[in-house]
Amino acid sequence: MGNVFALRLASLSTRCSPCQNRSTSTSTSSIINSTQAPLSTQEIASSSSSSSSAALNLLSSFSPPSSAYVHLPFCRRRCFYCDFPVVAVGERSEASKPYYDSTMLNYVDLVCREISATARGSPGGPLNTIFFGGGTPSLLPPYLLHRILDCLQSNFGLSSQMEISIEMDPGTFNGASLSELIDYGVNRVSVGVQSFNEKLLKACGRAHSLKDVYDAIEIIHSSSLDHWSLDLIASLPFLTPDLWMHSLTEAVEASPTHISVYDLQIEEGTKFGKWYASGQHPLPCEDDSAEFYRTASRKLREGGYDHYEVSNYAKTGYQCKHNLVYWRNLPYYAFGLGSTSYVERRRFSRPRKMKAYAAFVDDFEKAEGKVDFPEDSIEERILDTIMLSLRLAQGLNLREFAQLYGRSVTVAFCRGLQQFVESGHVKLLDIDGKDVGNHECHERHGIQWDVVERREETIYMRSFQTDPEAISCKPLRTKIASDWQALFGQDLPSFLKPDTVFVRLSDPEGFLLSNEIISSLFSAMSIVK
Amino acid sequence: MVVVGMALPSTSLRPALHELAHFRNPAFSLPCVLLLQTDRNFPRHCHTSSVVCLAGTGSSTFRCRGLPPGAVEAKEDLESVDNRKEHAIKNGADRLQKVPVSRIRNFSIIAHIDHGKSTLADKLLQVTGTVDIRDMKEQFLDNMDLERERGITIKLQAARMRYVSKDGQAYCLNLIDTPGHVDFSYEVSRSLAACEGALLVVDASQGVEAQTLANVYLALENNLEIIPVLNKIDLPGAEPERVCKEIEEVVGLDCSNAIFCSAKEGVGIHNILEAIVQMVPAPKNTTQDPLRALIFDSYYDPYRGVIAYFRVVDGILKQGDSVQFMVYEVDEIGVLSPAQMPVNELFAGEVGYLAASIRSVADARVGDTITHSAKAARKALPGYQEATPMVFCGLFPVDADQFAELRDALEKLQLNDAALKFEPETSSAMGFGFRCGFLGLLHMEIVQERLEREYNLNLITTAPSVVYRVILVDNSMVECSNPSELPDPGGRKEINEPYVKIDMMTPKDYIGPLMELAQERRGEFKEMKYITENRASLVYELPLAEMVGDFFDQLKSRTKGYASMEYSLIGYRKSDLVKLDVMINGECVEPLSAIVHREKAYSVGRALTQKLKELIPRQLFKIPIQACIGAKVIASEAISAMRKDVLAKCYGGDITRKKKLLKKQAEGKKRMKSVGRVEVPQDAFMAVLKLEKQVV
Repeated sequence: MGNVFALRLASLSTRCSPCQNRSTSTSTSSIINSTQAPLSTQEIASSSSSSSSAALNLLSSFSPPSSAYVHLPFCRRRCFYCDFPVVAVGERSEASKPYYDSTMLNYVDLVCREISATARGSPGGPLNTIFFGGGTPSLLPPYLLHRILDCLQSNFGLSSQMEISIEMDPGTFNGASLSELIDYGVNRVSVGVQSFNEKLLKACGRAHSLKDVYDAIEIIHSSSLDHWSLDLIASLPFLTPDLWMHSLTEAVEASPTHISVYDLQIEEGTKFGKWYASGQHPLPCEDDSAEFYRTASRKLREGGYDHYEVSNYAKTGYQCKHNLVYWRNLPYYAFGLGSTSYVERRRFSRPRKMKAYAAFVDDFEKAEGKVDFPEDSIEERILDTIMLSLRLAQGLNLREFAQLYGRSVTVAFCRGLQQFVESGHVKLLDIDGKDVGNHECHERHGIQWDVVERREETIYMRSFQTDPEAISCKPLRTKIASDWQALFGQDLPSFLKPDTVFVRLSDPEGFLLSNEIISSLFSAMSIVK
Repeated sequence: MVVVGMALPSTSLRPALHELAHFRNPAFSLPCVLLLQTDRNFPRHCHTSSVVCLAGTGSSTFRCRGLPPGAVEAKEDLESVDNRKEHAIKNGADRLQKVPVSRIRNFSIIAHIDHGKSTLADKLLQVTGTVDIRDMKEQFLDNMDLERERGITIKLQAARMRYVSKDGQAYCLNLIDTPGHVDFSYEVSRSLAACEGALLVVDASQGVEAQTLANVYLALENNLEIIPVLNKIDLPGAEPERVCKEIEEVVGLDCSNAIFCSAKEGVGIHNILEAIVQMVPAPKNTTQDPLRALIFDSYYDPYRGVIAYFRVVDGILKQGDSVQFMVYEVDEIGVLSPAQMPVNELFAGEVGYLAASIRSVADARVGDTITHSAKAARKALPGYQEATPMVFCGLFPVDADQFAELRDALEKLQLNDAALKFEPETSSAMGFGFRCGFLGLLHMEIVQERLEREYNLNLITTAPSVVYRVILVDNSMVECSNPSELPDPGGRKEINEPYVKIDMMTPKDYIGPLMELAQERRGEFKEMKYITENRASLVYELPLAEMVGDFFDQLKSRTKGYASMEYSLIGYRKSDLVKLDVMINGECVEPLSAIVHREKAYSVGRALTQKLKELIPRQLFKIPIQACIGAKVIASEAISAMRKDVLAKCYGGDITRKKKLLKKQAEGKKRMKSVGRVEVPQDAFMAVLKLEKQVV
């Protein structure tokens, strides 16, 4: 869609309560467990730690992915802020049709070849989530999308509770094309609205009008689709508090199940990068854009959306399963121009230019779907865990962190945390997801424990014992406290209340300064070697 | 004009022709004739500039390209080509060969900064074949990266050359290159003590500058024979005759024998070499006396221990000799040419180096005398006057664990830089570090940079201070070079601060701006005189503290770079001084404390808090910054809290770019020092130096 969006969000495919979800997740996982070969003893033995948790970690990042991202780079034009790998193809007209269609056909061929080769080199699946991002995926004729889905199905298999998301831009689809996509299995749509103001849409070079936006909402409402996300960009040039409030109100009025609010990033090499400097007119100043963030957080939570991730809001039960895979540092496949996969602990980015990508696919096939690329080190994984989990409202599971990475790493991490706990930018949560030492507070910080139905997730859940009975029982709380005492001994941080399990950034102040806080924590971790 | 070439490798033929083109006199319509002889004995290191000299000597007169007609003519004597060829063979290649003491010439080059000293040294090395053309690079003797980058000489360097003079005799010439910046005059005085003569290089267009004078006086103090050399005569604005007159008038040096040269174009180099041979006296022949050698420089080599550079004053030093600073056996002696080249023995008058597995830096201090263990000289050589540091600052490792490394590094640097002084210092804000003394601001910068580069340390430097003398109520006196250690106002009777006499030379157009500058810095006007019609010398007395900041930069920028300066310490004077403290987030940051004149305290305080506000990045909370005298706040600013630092972008699950950014941000934090809860970047501790000129 040519948008800046980092996160591709989707909501749950079923409208079930967290409680129901919990039961389904357990049952699904047991099925998956039985259908897949159990982890070999060798693999477990290769883990240096004997703790079961280390074996779990081995499992989660080494197990085959069950998510896939597919990049579809075509756009009508490049938006002024966009530095994604996109291919601008203009409007599809009678004259441009042959070129248009053959370009896309060739690309889909490449992607399908990459998928097949990957399945040979790193078999996995069945897939629980698929995400079509772009570019503007909705420019792709539905039958081509169908081909990719078919290819994924035949190579990896699809699970029954599948979440299939696609990004769509207003003005690039109609009722017919949407229902065709739904027929193929798409059950979540993410609409790149960006703003409810004509002037702002123009100012950032969007290819659609405000009328297209309302039409798109109308089309979705009259379809059978009930999980959809609406994307907004905050801090666009010329944005005022009133205009922002208007966009938020209209977004809530459209009643999507999920809303993403991204902050405009000025990137080098884009038109905006050439025209504007951060914090200077016509871009909003730092204070204003901080205020936009706070307003969004307040307004959307009031509208019934949980602020479950720095830039993402969802109605209960509608978090995007696919994006949670990213934040939980779980493996995922990626296919297509410029996309990045995380398979077998390797983060691999594909070429961003079409020619280079085509050459890559040739070589990749010859290499039987293997890339020669180093595995992430344990240090990198620690940093990934910190960076990713702190973006979530659920935060970082400190107990699991300590079990996985050991005492000295945890001590250093807690030293880094200290000042932010004191300043209120970091909050401590108990096993229930409630503020530590405040059992009366029933605000659950938008945490939904069991949204991803996967084997790893289930084990992950089990490792922090989310059984409601167990949570409230006193002996467990006592155990947590004594575990901390045993781990830290003399170094027990003063801020660490006995029943602390999670640490999270506060909303909105902690989220607003997430870079500052995370980079400070990175810096604190560099002491440990 | 007849040009003779030898069997040059074809690669050097082209540059040779190119150089020759420089000397083709357009006034003569004679074409250059190039004779190529096949002489296999022609040494390979006889490179293009040698050819140029050969060419030059074959003709009676030639003119430099780019000079206005009649401006200057470099004359060289006619000599037989064969004789020259002979010289070329013997030059360079045989430079280790011994010559009698009467044919040794030890000389330095002294000059104001940028007058072309290093270029001239390069040319001398080339012409004498000391350095192979393949190895030649600009500023050959400035082998520190820092020296090349800044285009300055910091360390003295020695180079032994062999030169066959017109009289047919081979001479051994020892060149000791010296720094030109006023901060390093100590280095100059050391090298001068090892010489009998000096080339005084003066830019033929700029004329006498402040350091020209200072260095000439140093040379005269050491009884050196001074040969005036007018450099850069190829430049359009060159006026060598006028500058000669200027030297005669200002310096009082006879310039009838002054040599006109262009080191860059290679003009007049042979004349200089001849002048060295004829005018610089040979060292006294004291070969029979007990060994006395003066160490003028030394450095630490991790494999060979301390390497000492010295000048043999009396006697002979042989390889394997037992010598004493303490008692050491000499592993290796050699000459510097300019690379180290081992020899078996060194006589009185020669300059060389020595390695004796000396472990302790303290055993081979610059200025020490080397003598034989068995037959020790009765009296040590006078040695050097110890350099007095003028400027002090605190050096602290950003990472407290690097304290021990910093101490080792300082010890090793000190060996190489005798003017550097240091002692441990502790500060509540900065932890453990050192209070270091320097000759001046440039010296301070250089040391800091060398520590960071050569020893891989990450340092914070506090604002420089001078040494104050505080008279206490009981009339006792304490010296204080660290504002944070200044006795309480109740305990002190008065503060005296060091004053310098400063001599500025400037084209008359800039007299006004310079007087203004000196006035602003509490300067007291002493005298003004015109050196020539257009140039004046201004003498002021002003507090050293006012000069250590950006005075020199200001002097340069207010005169478009034309003025030069020289200063010397003249003693202490009582001043109305107060201590200005800085509080960041309610905490007094000692390294930011400064001693300032009471009248300036308010403006400095205001400027300092404003500057800190700029330099300290926004943090999670609001940070008040205050400047105080005692408990009284005289200026305050606040850094508002950081509002927002959130990055949403992670498209398609690509977290690598985001992580890179966060890592970079984390890296930046490591270079900051935590003062309480506030992270302060390194340059903030130098904030006082960066204040706008009008305030200070």
